[in-house]
Amino acid sequence: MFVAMRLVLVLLLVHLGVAARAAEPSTLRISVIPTSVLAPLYAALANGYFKDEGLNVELAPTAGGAIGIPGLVGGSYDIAFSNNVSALSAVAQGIDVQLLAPFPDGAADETAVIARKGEGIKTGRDLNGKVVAVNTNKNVIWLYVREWIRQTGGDLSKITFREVAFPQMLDALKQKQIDAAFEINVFVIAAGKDPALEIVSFPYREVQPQVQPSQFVATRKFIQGNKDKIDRFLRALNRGGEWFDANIGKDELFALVAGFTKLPVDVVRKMNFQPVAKKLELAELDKTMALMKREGLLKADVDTKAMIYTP
Amino acid sequence: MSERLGFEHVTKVYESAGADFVAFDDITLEASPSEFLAIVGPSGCGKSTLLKMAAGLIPPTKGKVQLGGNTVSAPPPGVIYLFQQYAKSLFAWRTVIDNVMFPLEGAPRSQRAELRARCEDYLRQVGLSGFENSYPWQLSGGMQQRVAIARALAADPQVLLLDEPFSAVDALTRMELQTLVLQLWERRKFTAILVTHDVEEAIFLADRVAVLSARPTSLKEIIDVGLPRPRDQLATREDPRFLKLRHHLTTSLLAKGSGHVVAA
Amino acid sequence: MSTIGTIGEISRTGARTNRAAQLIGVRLYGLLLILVLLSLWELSARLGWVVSAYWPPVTAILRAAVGELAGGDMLDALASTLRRAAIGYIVGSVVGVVLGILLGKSRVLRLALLPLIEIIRPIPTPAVIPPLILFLGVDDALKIFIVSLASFFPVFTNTISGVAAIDDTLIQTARTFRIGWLRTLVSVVLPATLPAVTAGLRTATSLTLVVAVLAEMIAGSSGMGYYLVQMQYALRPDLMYAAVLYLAIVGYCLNRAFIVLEARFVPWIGKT
Repeated sequence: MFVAMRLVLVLLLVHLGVAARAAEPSTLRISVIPTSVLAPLYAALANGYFKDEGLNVELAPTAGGAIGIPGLVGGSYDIAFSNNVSALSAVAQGIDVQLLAPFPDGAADETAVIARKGEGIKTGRDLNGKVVAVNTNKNVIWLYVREWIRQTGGDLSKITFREVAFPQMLDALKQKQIDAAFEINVFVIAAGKDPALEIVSFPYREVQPQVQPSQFVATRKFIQGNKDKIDRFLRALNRGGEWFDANIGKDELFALVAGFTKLPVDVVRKMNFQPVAKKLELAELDKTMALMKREGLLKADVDTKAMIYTP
Repeated sequence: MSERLGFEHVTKVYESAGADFVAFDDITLEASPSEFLAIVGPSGCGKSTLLKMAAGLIPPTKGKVQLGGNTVSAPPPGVIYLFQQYAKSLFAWRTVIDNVMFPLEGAPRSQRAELRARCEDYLRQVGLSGFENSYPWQLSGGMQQRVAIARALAADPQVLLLDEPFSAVDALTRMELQTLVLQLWERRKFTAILVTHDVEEAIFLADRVAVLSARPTSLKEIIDVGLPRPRDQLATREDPRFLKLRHHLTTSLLAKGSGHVVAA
Repeated sequence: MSTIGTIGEISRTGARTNRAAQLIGVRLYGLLLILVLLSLWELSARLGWVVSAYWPPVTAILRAAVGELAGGDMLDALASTLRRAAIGYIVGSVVGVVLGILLGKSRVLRLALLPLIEIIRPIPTPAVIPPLILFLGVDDALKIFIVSLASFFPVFTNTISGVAAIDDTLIQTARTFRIGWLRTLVSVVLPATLPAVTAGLRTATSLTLVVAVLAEMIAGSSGMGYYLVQMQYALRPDLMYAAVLYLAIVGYCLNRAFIVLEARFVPWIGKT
């Protein structure tokens, strides 16, 4: 009898604990990908900036980024690390999310098109009749590589796109299963060291120089119910951005990035860290939206102005 | 302990694809207490079905099966069935002794030791001492059927129904098992009903032999065996009366058509 | 007569030793084959026959694997994967056995539930993860659910066909001894179905680990699946292959343990 009562009590407490999580005043649960772009976030965490704001930030790293926005809707996360294209698609589908601005982007644009050295691939025109690898079709990377190809004279109807995971792209290139790949930073560094490969272009920079693809996203409902918490989060995050700017080229930053990405420090040292962007421009979001409409990722305009949350 | 078991105007009709199929029609037959009755008939005549009705496993379409003074509608106590497929009737996950104990497991815990000793004795009676802790699948076919017989004894049978129990073993083992069943029957005096297509087996074991015709099955004749007991595998089988009965029954089974012929 | 018997016995024992020696020989060849392949791998990486960041020499992988024993993230990752796999396996298997027996025994339940189960069965796990996140979140509940779903199907289908395959004679035997339905279920139907259930459990055993890792790769913040992907992105193929090696060892051990337990607890498999 006593045991049964205790069991009921424990179950009740556990249940209350679960119910309390959503209402917990100081906790924020954030879905992240351990990429160098998030260095300001990890800096704010390591330096106790969130604690200073009375926030308890829990990071939930995932290897891919596919579950960020579904996780927001399901209530698993309060904030998700995502990108402008995913957020625009979500809003177009009636999922009411907002971008938290400004987002301190902690790594320079190191996302590049890679090809085999000596094959003369310099522009989109050179890719006609070839196979180009992207990590996922119809995502942000796909969108920008297509736009870059179009702007540099390529004919998209003559180019085959193939989905290859980032870590496998360079091997696929060398085995001639693909002719070009749109790679992310650590692999761009690896390609730079490889005598058989060369960096062709940085499409983000060429297509939309001011764009900030990476973004923190939350649902409007959550933001409205937790304005104070979100503001404190952004304050602490931007302190992380300031620390980042102050430590570019220093061992502290390399150690921090190597720590959360698990990358070897010598790779981190080769990364091209640039001061963080401080502002999310509405015009840039509109440009991305125009690109998406052109590729059929969006059917109609989205109210981009309403999508940006600034304290 | 034994009971009278009677079939009264028993008919079995199967419905298949809209057409009725008469398995057997209006069979009346009775085994007296402690009698050894054999039922022979061509294969496919529904002998096993008749036996399963006696066990309460299948209901008759018309007529009834009477046990003592009661009509059989579900498996009655004291009626034990010995299946032709002994391997499928034994529990592979139980040891030999636990198989024999199976019918007694409803008994109170305090009687367990005594019941176990009794079951060990049944195993001794069927010649399986020393195999208590073996599994059925470690034994030969004949030994497996002995386990099934010991298990039947444990259930304290008043009526033992034997459904071609020796047809799946070799000839020598068959004779051994026949002798064993006769010894047990003489000791325990249960009523025994044997279904078989082996004429010699029927004569060797039974007091009376009922002959069934081919489909639609009916009772063709009943003969008294009248051979002296205890019976012996050599002496009984060489008895001129045995040979005469064998001749008669074989002729009767081979003959086409039905109709009641009462043997002298 | 006795002489013939003796000669027969000698030649039989001789044949047996010969055969045992032969088997050891074959086993040695099997080991040798593995060693040759591993040596080829080592050479191809060392001598540059294969140039890739994802083709480390075998010795580097072994060094990483041994290094992780002294402390590192991998054993923690392995433990959390095994915990999820074990919980999911138990939940899925219990539900599979219970539903398998209920549906195997009841025509009504079969007609009511089987179509639904048959529709869910062919859906590939990765496809259901995003919608499942809406209901189960991204944490343990999701992964455990996916693992239990994966172990449910082999256990369920084997159980239901195992129940269907029980010989009538066995049930009739219980009936003639006037055994009630509950005892018939517990002491006849269940043990008679056990070999089929065991076959299902065995399939599920090898599946659970795979599915747990897969789910962690897609939606994991911990565990071997997350670790594998993280190490790919962190340019640490030696650790990645070391993780694969550990998974292979664990999978092999689970299978061996299963065989031992099977022989110990279900010795009548294949004997009826």
